[in-house]
Amino acid sequence: MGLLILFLILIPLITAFLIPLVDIIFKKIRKVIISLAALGELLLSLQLMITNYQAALTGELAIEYLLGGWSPSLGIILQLDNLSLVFSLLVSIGMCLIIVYSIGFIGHHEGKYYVLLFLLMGAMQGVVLTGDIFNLYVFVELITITSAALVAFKRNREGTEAALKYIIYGVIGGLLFLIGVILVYFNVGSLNMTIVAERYNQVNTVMKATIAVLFLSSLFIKMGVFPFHYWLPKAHSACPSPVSAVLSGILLKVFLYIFIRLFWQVSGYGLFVGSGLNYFIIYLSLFSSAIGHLLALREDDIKRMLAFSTVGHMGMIIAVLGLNTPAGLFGGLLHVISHLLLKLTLFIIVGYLLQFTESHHIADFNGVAYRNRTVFIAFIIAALGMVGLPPLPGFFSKYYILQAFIETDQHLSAILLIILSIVSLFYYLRYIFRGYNLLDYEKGTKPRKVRLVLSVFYRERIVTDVIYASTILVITSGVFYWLFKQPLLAAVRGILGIQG
Amino acid sequence: MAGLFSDFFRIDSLNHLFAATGLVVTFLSILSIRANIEQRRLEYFLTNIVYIISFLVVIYSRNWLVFFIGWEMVTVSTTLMLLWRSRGLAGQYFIVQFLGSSILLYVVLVAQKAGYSEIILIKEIWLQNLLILGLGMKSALFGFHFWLPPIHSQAPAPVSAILSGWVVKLGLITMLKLIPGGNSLLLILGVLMIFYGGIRALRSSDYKVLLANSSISQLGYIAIGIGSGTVYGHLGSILYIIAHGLAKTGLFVGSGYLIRETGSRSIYQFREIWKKQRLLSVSILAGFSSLIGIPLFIGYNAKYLVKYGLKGELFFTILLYAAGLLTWLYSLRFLYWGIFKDLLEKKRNMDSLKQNYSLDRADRLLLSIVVVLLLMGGLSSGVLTSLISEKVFEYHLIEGLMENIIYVFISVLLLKKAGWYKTKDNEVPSLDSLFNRINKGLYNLGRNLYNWIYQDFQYQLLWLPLFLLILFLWVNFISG
Repeated sequence: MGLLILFLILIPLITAFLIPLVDIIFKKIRKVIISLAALGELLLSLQLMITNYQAALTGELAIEYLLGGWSPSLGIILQLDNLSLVFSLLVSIGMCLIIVYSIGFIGHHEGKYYVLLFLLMGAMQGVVLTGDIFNLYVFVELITITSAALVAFKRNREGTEAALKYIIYGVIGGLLFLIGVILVYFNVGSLNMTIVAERYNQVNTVMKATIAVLFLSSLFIKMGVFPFHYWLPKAHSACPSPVSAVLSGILLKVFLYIFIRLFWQVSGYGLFVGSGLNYFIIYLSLFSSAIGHLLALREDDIKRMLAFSTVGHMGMIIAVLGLNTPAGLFGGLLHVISHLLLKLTLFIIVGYLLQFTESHHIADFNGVAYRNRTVFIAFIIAALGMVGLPPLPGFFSKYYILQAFIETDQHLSAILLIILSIVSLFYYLRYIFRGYNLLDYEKGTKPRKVRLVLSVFYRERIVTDVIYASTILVITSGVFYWLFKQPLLAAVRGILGIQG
Repeated sequence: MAGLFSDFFRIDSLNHLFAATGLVVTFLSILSIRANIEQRRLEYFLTNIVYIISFLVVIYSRNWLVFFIGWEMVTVSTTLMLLWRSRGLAGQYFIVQFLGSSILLYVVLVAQKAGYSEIILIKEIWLQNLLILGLGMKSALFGFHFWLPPIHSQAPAPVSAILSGWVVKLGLITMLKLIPGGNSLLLILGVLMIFYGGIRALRSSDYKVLLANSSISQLGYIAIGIGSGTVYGHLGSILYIIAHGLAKTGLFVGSGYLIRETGSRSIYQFREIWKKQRLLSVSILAGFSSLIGIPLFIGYNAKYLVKYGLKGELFFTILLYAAGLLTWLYSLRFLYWGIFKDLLEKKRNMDSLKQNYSLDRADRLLLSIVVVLLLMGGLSSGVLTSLISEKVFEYHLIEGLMENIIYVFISVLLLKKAGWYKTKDNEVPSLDSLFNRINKGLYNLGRNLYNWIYQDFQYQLLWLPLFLLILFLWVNFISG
């Protein structure tokens, strides 16, 4: 069983190195190989979930694999518990959809694209599965490098600028993380998460606080919380849509996983509560959420709008996690699932729709709905899910998040989040109405030439099919949200260390 | 499975009664599709089915989450129905309803925290008041009523019938289940609604706006019945919900035919309706009779019970008599201008008696059903109340008749003196300008915020040392 975990990381890595070879030998089977790899990864995750479902429900799930057989204090350990199972499954599902979508969407430099995408996928799985902090750092840097290259993938001015900004912020974040890792090693003498967690009480308070501050700032940079959100809208809008979907939908959730893993299971959240920093985290991320949603209101570029909305939702998740209650963690994890699915769906739909417009500007969005009505209805469904309309997944996570805030008597925060959900309705409706707006076509004064932005749209069928599949996934995950309840609650118990 | 079902839903005779009324209202509005919905009738019908399922969920549910899901599905399905008029209208309605359900979501969560894990009677007054505010937007209680006249008057006739006849009642039905011992806030809001809606109805020249304003006024009676907290008041508001549901549905559906017939919505343009459309006029008469509360119609019994519930309080009794006069005034004014004016005039123009719209079998059936139901409800109110309560009532029909005769004299006198109160044709109320302003305001808010937050790149990077400094200071010195 342990070996299977290793394969979750190895499959994408091997595929990444296989693609250049395949390109040399026989280019045409590349898409077969990548689809097989994505599918294999998904099946492997599903297999792990199905065989361990009972253990996951009781919270006893703990599968380990020692790399090279070295004991934990020396070697690297891979481990799978409830939390990593949830995130690993999410990464697999999301990446499978994105990779199949990319087959239809990306039409140029495909070789490089898939190498980077699979490396990114391997790195994300590695982050989720590793039990060693330094190993975690290595995977984080791998993520930064591959995703920066993907941000610049369009090779235009905008993309390069965004990638430079992204890499500056990413490197600073990585550096802070590395300093934190070094301090942990010098004070604890080991980098294995379990051992660090056991010995962490012996570290003196100032050092603990310093380490926590370093990790916190690093992760806030990576997650795009308010003073460090500047890179996010740029990076998430400059790249091709499937990459935006990966960055906005999946990658940020992986950093959220590191946030939970480090601060709850390694250092213990009590540290923050003791120093009052938990309120700092909650209110800063709520502020960040407000900033994200309000800035999305003015955004005339739909992809930047979605990116700002991501800032808003990430702030909401971090705030509710910061409450450190079972209800808060449950709501946060549920929102991770729903935001991942919905944002991914929105980005891939927008990627499709923007093929019919000259630019990303809202003025060019007029009448887009008539290009493909079904896809636009999927867009409306995903947008309403994001706003929080039952029975779509966004509603249930919003419900539990608000419940968590009200349970801890934070009524103002709950009211703020409700107002922000109304604000988000406004900015989505703006684009929905634009989509149905036929003004420019009706007037006839300015005949619009519709030009395909890239000459890549040669497998439209795959693109639309993936869009429908993910929309169906969104709807089913909303209707059957109660299926997640037991495993997530078990994961929450694991995080908080509550037995039974 | 049965256990799971009863966890989420409560099956009792009161809920059956509401569900049956809701189904009748929806059925009546579907019957009038022919005159009002030209395209995509199948889709319209399917939307209606979704709507039926969701309002049944709202009525029967005992679990807050299920209730809320049903509530939002009602919003979505009615929004979809409004698409048959225009996207803008549907968007406005959706935003307003989403605003209302957002407030409700907060209130529901607060109620859950206060220990009410189910939809049951609530004891705390503050929580009751909060719930009234939460349900207020959907039920267009006073203060939240701004959206009702524009949207109900612009919607297609069958959709107006559903919205005005049933959807606004859902909030009041929920209040009925939550507020046992009366609530003074609801009482005050109810009185304000009766007079506000009545006066606005008296001044309207557009038939559908008049009906929408009269809806606000009539909802006030239901609110008063619930707010009074007496058994009679409660029973009265239950009967009132049924009575107003049927009457307003009939009137709104009738307004569709009337507008098709005359080609105008202004009540001054309605010509020779009594001659041309006899059945339609009879149904309108029956509808208004029920609204006014003329004996033999169900509206009379409902109004009688609500009044009886407030008998002890002199102030409210006087207000209710005044309200009765107000209802007579706006009804008579409409009946004069809309139906009987040409009959009463001596010099008549007989050459334009050709019908522009002829009722077909479904339309006739629909209008007859409305009249029959209004009369039957009045004659068999005892049967309806016996489903819920053991009490037997004497409705004092003769005294009610006398009272109404006095009202007629006074109101005819007043209206004649005012020349039947002809107002100027004003524009159909619309939320467009409001929403334009909101949109612009929000956009500017975002832009200003953006200009404030986004500075040059080097300043953006300066946040990092600042952030680290604050955090280090915080953990090392401030928190000690």
